[in-house]
Amino acid sequence: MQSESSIKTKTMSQADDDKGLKGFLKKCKQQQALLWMTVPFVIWVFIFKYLPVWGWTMAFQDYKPALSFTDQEWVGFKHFLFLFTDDRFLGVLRNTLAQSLINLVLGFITAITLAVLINELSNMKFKRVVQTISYLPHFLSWVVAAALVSSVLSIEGIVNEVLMGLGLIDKEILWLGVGEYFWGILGAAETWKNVGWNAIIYLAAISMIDQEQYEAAKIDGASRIQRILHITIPGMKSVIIVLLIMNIGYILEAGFEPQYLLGNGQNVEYSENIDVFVIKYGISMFNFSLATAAGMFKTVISFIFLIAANSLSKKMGQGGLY
Amino acid sequence: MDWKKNVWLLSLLVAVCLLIAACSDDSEETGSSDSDSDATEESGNEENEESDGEIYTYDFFDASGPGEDINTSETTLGKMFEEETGVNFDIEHIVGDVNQKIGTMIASGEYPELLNAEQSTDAVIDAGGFIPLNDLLEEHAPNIMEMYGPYLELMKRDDGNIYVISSGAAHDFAKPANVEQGAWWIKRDVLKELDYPKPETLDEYFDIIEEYTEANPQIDGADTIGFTALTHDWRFFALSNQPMHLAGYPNDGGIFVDMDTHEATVYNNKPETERWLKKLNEINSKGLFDQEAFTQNYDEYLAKLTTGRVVGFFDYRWQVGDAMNTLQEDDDPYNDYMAFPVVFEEGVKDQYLDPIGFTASPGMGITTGTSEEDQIRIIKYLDHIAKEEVQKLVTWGIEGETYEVGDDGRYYRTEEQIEQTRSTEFRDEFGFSYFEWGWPRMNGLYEDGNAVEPPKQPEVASMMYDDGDKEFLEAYDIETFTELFSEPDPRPWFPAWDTPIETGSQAQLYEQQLDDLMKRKFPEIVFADSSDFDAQWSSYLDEFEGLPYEEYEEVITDSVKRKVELVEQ
Amino acid sequence: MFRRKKASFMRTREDIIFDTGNIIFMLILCVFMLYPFLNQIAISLNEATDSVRGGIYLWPREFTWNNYEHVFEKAAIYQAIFISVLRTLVGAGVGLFCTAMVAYAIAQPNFIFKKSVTIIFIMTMYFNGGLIPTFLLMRDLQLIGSFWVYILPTLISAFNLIIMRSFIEGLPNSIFESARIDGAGDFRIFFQIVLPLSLPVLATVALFVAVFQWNQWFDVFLYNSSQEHLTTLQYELMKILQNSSTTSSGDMASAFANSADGNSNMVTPKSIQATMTIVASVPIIMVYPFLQRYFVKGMTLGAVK
Repeated sequence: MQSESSIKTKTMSQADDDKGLKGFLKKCKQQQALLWMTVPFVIWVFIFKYLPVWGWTMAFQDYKPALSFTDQEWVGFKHFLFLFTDDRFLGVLRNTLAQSLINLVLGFITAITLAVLINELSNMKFKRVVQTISYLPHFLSWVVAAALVSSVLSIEGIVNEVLMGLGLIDKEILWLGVGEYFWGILGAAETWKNVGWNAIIYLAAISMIDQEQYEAAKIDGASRIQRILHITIPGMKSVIIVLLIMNIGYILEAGFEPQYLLGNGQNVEYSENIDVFVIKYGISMFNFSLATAAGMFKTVISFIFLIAANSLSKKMGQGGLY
Repeated sequence: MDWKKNVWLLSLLVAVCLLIAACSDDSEETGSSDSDSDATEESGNEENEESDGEIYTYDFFDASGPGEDINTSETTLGKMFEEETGVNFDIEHIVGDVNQKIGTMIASGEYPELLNAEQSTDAVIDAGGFIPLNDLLEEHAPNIMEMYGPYLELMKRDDGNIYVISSGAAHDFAKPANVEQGAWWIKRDVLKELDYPKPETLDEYFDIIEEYTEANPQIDGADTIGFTALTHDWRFFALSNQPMHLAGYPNDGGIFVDMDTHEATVYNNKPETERWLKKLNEINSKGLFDQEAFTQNYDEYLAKLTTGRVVGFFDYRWQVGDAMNTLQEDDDPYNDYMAFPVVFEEGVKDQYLDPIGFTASPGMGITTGTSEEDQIRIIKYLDHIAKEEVQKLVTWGIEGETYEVGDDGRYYRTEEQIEQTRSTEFRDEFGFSYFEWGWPRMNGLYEDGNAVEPPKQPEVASMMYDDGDKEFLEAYDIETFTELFSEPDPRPWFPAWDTPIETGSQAQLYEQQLDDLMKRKFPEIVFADSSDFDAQWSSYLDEFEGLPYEEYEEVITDSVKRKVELVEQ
Repeated sequence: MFRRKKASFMRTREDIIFDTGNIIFMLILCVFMLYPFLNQIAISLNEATDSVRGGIYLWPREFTWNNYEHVFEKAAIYQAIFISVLRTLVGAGVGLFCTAMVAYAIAQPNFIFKKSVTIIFIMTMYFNGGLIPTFLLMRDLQLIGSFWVYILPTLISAFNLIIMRSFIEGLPNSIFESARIDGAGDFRIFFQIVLPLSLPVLATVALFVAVFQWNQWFDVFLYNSSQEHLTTLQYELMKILQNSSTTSSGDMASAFANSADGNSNMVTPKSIQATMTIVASVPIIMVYPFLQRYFVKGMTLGAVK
């Protein structure tokens, strides 16, 4: 609050009018251009994003699409109870958290590293080619990607062949048949598929860095690594923080396609996450209410994590999302 | 300060929302009449100027499967029907998830005139989306009434109304020439090498596999796979249905139905299942069971079958179609598979061929919002298709063009006609592909004794065999491959799996929970040390007892008994 | 004025080791990233029934154009390509403009609704009303059966908005101040200073929106599936893919009719899947190299100063 108003006083000439309705209206007038830029879209966001939230009432009903709102049968917290009291819920929650955490950490580290390394390539042509090739897997559907992962990991697949050839294992491993490996496989697959895509945004951030700084550092005799650590990375900092906070909010969004496609009876205790559970017991059973209840649960958790991450970041003096 | 700003912003937004909400109420009405305009326009025309030659186009949404979206009049058959009834349909097939698509239709109350809602049929009926057809059928559809005569009672819902017309009103049994359903397959090469054995029991079947695998540990340089299985995703039943078949029951889903008491009982906790799993456990310890059986996906499974490394497997023919076609296309007649009806022990009568049955749902229904005139036109169109001569058009085609009639009145096809009616282009153009399963349809035999479906006509089937097929037919001294299989016993309730299961009920929950449990536990049981088998099995049983299987049995039993009663009436 | 110097420094030993290592790493990476694509191309060019056998890696075993012919013989595909291109262009253009404008506003430190507007948008990232309420809203807004149902509901993505805001916030404050002193209003600053300076992030967001729009098929499925002239490429490909699995439809007669179907135009889900991957992704992949020139280092910051 304080910092915000101090900025205001700095730029606003009539700081003392900054009180009451009158001051507010006056400001609105001063900033009418900014209002024109935002108000139409705020209206838009309310219509398209907030209005459909009435649908959350479904979570407390045995929703039947045909009935009008007043005719629905209200069932209180039944669907939440079903979700939370299922024997597997804790396991499912654990899997969701683990999968998305692995994804978060791996995703950030690999994408940032790749962006930095691509940026260090000096041959422009090679750089462009690498950049384009690195994001190709993003355009494969998970059906195709999962089929590939599965065949690579099969008993006669290349992974087993290489490991056997190197003498690291003495019997083929059924990778998808051992639950404990699943998170790792998923993390690797996600990284492979998305690292190039995720790096794009960091490359954009790097290209916004003032070139002068590099030249100056070179003159000062800074080494390659030093330049990366002291110019490139700090130059991306604000983007990294913003992305990190937003992604922490997605802590329960671990995706469902790869888990669904690579999951099987032998690894289900590590592969099944909330979204997969909801598909099985909600959508495929025409139970929109359960799906809604699970969605609400995820939203609440998201907000908690988001707010926590944001205030933590602010406390650390790194600025926040809002 | 901050809160004041927010209050202002909020009240502004509330005002806007109210405004929008007010507007949208109006637009709702205009919106719905808008999207109906196709039909209303046409029916409007009709009221004013009922003249001959007027063509009416209706929408038909088909959620039962994928297909080309066309207007029926673009096909030879559809054109003929249009000339006779003045009606054609714009067919739209489903592309994504059925529940989601039908869910939005129900929620908005806007339906195409004709709808097949597949697994969401009950939801549409509950929502009042289908109109009762009883009166329409009685007044305007004598042919449907005749064709579906024996099944009309089965088609009625609890409220006594018929909402959908399903496909396949069986009249007599036409034994298929080739195995279309579940069976135990063995590679022909194996059969030839072992001098054409004929396995009848489970033990004999696996003895063959064991003998061959021991003698041939490798095929074409790769390790021989004794027995593999399909377990991926929703196809898990290809590993869990066996106890039912081995015990001499047809594919009724997850239950045994007692022939006398008509009680339905689940078998997943019965000794039959234990026996099946024990067998798998045993062949696993002998190294005959595919280690990837529980992890491979559908594509990998099919690919494996086509390599020729697999000695045997159990599956339904329609699941392995792509692999079988690929094998059939190559020049090696021994790298194909032959099907056997295997049972637990001698004396059990196999029931792999589907008995005559009737599935009451899903089917085609006319939706609410369709005007009375349109309803009549649509039902008359469906009735037209239900005429026996039209049924022959839809299944056999045109005499002299797509089939011939022998002096004895038997239908057959020449080699060219077989070739022609196999081609996808021709089937599309003629309309065979569109007036398929889904429309009012007879099943079994026509009154004159010809099979409804040409491939089931022995005259046609025998012409489809190649030299490789004939070698094995001779070796086993049979005319058709299904000759090894017993005729099905009459089961008036068949199939029990079409029982409507209520959304959100315990019975529905059971199906999903059982699937999850089996997928998790079966691999552990099968891969367990043989000394550990009993412990694994009882741990599975413990968990199974926690499932609401009694509710499930009750729902199925009620439905079976009701069906039997209706048929006996 | 700052004049960029050409890198005239000697490459040190460290540089050489670093660059060599980096290039080797990138080459290995390229192999991993490129393989699946080449593999899909090989499968799409291989005879369909043969593909079921598996074991195709980089080169087709039985070469054929059949799979592509099968896809492109459908007349609907051409209209669908047009719609896909249109929605990608319109979606990216309109979306980019709207996102940038809001981002500019909420990047202004003294904007009175800065915080509220930001929060209102951020929250939308973490919830949605669900399938059916959204469907009913589209119906009430009369968007069903119209092209705009592709554009309007996804006009601004909060994710892109925040990204863009943080880039704009990163622009040197001095630029804005000096412009204001010159008497420039917000609209002028936005158009004449912020947009030209934000090319890298604009290119990034344009790419994000374009790829999103290009890949969408679910909204076609929900809202426009009966409007043949409004379906997109992805949707039509999806349809062809599902049609290719005739044997799984449980339709005995046609399954049997197709069995032993020796004619060469047969397709299988696997071969169509591969063909679809190539047909659907190659056009959109081409967009990136085109946008890459906006990722040019150094920017024009110096010129503005």
